[in-house]
Amino acid sequence: MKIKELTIYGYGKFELFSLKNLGSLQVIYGPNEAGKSTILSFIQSILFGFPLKNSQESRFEPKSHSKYGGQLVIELDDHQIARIERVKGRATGDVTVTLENGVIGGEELLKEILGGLDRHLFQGIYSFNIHGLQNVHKLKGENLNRFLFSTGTIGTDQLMELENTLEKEMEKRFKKAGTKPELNRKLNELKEIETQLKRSQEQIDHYDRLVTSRDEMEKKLYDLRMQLKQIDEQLIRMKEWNRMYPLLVEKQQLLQDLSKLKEVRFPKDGRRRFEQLELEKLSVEKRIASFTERKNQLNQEIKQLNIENAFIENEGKLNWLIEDLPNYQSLVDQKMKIEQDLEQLIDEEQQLASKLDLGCPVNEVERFDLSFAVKDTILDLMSRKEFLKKQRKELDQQDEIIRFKLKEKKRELNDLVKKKLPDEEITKLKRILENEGERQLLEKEKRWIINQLDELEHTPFQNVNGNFRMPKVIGIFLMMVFAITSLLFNYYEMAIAFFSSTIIMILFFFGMGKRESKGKSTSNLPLKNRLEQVENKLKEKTSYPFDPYQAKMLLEKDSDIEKRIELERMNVRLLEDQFEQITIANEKWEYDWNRIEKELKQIGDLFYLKPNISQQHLPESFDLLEKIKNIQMEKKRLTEQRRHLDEMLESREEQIEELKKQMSIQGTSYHERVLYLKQKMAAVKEQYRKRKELVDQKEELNKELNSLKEELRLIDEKEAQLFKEANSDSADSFLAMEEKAKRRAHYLEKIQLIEKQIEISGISVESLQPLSKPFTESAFLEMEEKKKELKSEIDRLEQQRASINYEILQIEQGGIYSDLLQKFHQAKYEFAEMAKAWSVYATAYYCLRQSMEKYKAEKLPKILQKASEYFRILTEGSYSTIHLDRKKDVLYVQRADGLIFSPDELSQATGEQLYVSIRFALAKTLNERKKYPLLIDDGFVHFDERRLKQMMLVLKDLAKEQQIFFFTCHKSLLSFFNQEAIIHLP
Amino acid sequence: METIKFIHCADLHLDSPFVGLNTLPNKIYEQVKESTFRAFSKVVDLAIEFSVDFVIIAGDLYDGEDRSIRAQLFLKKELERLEKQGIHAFIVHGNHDHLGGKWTKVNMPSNTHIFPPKAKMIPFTTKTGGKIHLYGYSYPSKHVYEKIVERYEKVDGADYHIGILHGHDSLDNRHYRYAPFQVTDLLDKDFDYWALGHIHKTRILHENPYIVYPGNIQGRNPKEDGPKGCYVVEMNPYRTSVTFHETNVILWDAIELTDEETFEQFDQLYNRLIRLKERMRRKKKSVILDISLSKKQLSSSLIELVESEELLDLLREGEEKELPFVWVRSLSFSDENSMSIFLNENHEFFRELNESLHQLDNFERPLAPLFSHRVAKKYIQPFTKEEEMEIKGKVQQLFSRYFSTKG
Repeated sequence: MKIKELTIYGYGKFELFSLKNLGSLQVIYGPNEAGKSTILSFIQSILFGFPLKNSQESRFEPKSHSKYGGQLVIELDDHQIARIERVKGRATGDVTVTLENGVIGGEELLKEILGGLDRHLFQGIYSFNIHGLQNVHKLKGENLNRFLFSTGTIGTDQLMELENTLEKEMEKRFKKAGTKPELNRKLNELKEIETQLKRSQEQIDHYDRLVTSRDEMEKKLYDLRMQLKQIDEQLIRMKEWNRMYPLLVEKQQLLQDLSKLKEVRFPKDGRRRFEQLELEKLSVEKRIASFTERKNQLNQEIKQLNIENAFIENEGKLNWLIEDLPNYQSLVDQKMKIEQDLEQLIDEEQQLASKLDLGCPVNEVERFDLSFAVKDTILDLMSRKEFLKKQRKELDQQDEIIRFKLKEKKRELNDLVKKKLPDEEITKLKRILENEGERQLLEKEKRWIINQLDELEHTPFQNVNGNFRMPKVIGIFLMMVFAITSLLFNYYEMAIAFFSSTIIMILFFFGMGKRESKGKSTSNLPLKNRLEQVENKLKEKTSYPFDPYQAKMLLEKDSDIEKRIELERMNVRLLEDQFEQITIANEKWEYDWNRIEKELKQIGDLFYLKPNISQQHLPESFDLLEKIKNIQMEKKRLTEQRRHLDEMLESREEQIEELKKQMSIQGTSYHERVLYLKQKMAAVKEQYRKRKELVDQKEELNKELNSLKEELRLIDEKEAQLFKEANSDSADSFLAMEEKAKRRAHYLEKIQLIEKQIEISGISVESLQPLSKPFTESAFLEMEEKKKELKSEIDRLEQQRASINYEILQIEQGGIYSDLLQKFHQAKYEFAEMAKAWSVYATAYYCLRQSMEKYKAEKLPKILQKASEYFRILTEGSYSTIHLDRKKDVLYVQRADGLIFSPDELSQATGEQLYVSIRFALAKTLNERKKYPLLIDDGFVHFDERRLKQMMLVLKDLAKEQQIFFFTCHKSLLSFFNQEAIIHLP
Repeated sequence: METIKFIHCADLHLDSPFVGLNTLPNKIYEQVKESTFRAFSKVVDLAIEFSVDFVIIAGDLYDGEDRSIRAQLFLKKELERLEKQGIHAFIVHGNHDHLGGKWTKVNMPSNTHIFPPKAKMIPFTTKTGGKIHLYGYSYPSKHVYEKIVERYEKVDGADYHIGILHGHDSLDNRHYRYAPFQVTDLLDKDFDYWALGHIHKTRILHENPYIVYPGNIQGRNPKEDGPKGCYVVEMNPYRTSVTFHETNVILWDAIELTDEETFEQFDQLYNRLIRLKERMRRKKKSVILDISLSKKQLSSSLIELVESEELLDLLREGEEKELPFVWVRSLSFSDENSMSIFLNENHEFFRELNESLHQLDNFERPLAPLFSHRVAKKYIQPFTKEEEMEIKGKVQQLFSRYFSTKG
């Protein structure tokens, strides 16, 4: 690629600075501090990013302003134009790449365009400055060679460094026969641990043996202890024997005595049982005796009792009679009561009958029909009769009243008639009134005429107009006012109008008055004539003497009386009617009354009643009859009851009579007899009971006696058996045996005691064998000796065992083995880790060398060829070629005369030339793929004119293929270039 | 038929050495060393607590055939504890503790039944009258190629039949050295329960009947992470229930901080990690912890701290006094290997370098100096494929770092 344009927004001292139309060989000239390094740095920054804050390169951040960054316009190898702009942003800045075809990108696109070239590499290959040359001076010998070789490969000495570093790292870690490197040390460690481990292992085997020997020892100890124990036991036994010896002797003696006592057989508690039985026997015998006596007594008593049998036989009947006595009594009472009642009833009957005054024997009443129907009829009749009675009274009353009223009324009427005026009188009065009337009328007329005349004369204009006078005046007044007013205001026409109207109004009103008074005077005459007439008539009228007022009064009164007379006459007529009515009613009443009386009598006849009774008191009679009938029925009933009672009483009395045949019964009345029977019965019963008692008792006693006898027998049996148990048949022999048994027991007891003691001591001995003698002192001593020996042996063994145990414990507890194992494995692991780390370096080294070899074989020759070319030019043919010693990885040069030199044999300047040639050759070779601009910072300050010139030749040659930027501050160099190609920095 | 209860555990690896832990403080180191023992004590505690009828240990009780005295005596003591409670133990030996090794015989108490190197049935009656037939087989040597399970023959006369086998369930030929079998083989035997051993990861291969790998009782390296333990099995005529109980005293765990968290300041990162530790501590078990995070989450200064292991040291400070302890074994970057290396492809040399690295298959040549060393080769083994990849990655990193950070 070529850089066509360069624009700085802000970088170092530059602000908004641009360089355009940059050419293939572009010289940038400027004195010191002109900014050459700045531009150099700028180009690299734009392409590869601003240097990071902590890097060694300067960032050239402007101090006076904030703009930072810029852009480059480049022409790519395919002639596309790209713009690369980088400004402040992230650490390395924010870059924008714009391609001609519109594609816009960032860092990625930039990387693509640059083909992966980075700053480092760029600097190494395409950037030339003083430093590189300085290195040539610094390195000597082998290093120089390698440096150059390294330079030839990638442009810097990195490879050499890397190779060195790797080697160092490898050796740091491991050397085949070394001791210091860590792997070697670790190896030693491993060996150590392994040996330790093996030793520990051995110990573990040893463990087995220790365990076995310990076990053996245990066994032996056990045996010894057993022996010891046995001896101890023996000693004890011996002591015991000695102690027990006397007792054993005694025992033997006792056994002998025992054998002497022959057959001894005695039951346990023999004596006690015997005595007990004897006691029992005694008590039983006593009881038997007493019971027998008692029994005899009872027999006696029984004989003495005497019982009447008849009573017993008839017990049932007697009991019944006795119990029935109260009943009997009550029956008697009942009968008496009934008879009383009957008497009473008969009395009543009689009474009632007499009351009724019956016309038949009283018994007949039974047959009367006294049903409800009849009763109802009677009641009905009676009520109707009552009703009629009432009616009678009413009628009588009414009759009286009417009669009275009638009388009164008639009287009144008469009075009134008397009072009435005769007819002529009346007419007279009437005429008076008429007169009066007329007179009044005439008066009235007279008055009126006068009035009218008055009026027509005396009424002036004033009276008639009186009413209208006021308003008229006001009106006229107002008109006047208006007229004056309008005059005042100079409305002359109006004033005239008002004024004229006033005059008109006055005239008008005045004329009206006149007219009226004229009319009035014509109507006077007829009136005056009438008046005269009237007055004449009046005169006639007043001649009558009678007071009209009075006459009126009298007339009125008379008319009143007339009215009243009429009224009274009517009343009288009414009363007479009523009277008529009453009479009729009376007749009817008579008829009804007679009928009822007849009916009542009829009914009374049925009952044989006297007529007056039946008519007056039939209901009561009826009731009485009913009562009588009831009484008669009651009588019947009572009679029947009495008969029944009689029957019952009789039967009882018969029974007594029967019984009397069998036994003697005292008493006269039934009552007395029965009581007597009762007493006797009780007595007999008592006797009977007594006897039974005694008999029972006797039975009891018999039973008892039998059982006692049985007991006695049993006791005897038991005794016999007891004796048998002791092999005796009598009490004496029995007791004798007892004695023997006692003695025997005593012996046995003693023997037992001894045997117990023997048991405790543990000695076993046959009862009747001859006894061996007790042990002597010396025997004991011997035993003690043995014991001592054993003890000491045991002690010794125990000590041994303890020590073995300790050893074993050590092994068991000592995690020594496991610790070592752990250590060993750990060491192995660490070794493996270290080996890994070493392997990385080893592999890297290997790869590096491989690559280098390959490179050397393939690529380097080409570069060297080119380098040789340049070298030749630069040295003006003094040197012909640069060669590679493959074996040693070094370069060497061949002079024109064929002599071979190694680089460090060259002069400084030649060395520089060699360096430069190689670098240029490298740049050129690499450019076959992609082209990048060379940035050359004035470093060829050492070259003389001629050399410089040669250099320029080389540069020009290079410039054919790629862009070269040449930064210089030496004016003198400018002459080598075209003027157009030079940019002067300000 | 009665209900029976038993514990099934395996792969005790008592006295197994712990590797991968350098520079542990003493106290912690001791605890780590003792962890397998403690774990087995816990198993015995469980047995007593649940009043089981017996305990099955399905092989690999010790780590190597040279079993340490200490381990054996410890086992004996624990078995005696079981004996006191009337609990029996049924043991088979596996490939690690096979019977062909040279080892000191320690007599086990009377309640212990060890299966011989021949398929055998041992009958057992529980306190409540339950009759059980147990079938087992101990390895006579390190490898057992045949399908031993075929020799197991069911013997009638028991309420329950339990098979014990230390082996590998797989068709894979590579594993044919450890009494291989398939689940169908086991099912064919018509047992009520299969107590397996050999695989350290807890797995239930089958239910009804249960075929179980209980896994080992205590993890010994970062790969054996998570809770470890044994199974308490309860069987009645209708149902079998298995309950897992943790027995490990030390828990191996790994945590990766998620990408969302970024850290600018040291305090931030430090406190976050401390909180992480404390959260782990709350599990009431000691923990050995690997923490990883991505480089992208940290600022460059913090990356430096992590790489120099300064931060790691801080995190480890004072843990030896803590109980339970949380020991940070490593603090690393998860994307170490995934960073895209960008050697300039255009430069001939770098291309060549990449190529040669990529194509490297045979590590013998580069590593020869060490691996053919007379003494060294006794102690190391050639790298696994994974490790080789790891090395390649590291080399690439090395190159890229070298060629890019200079200047």
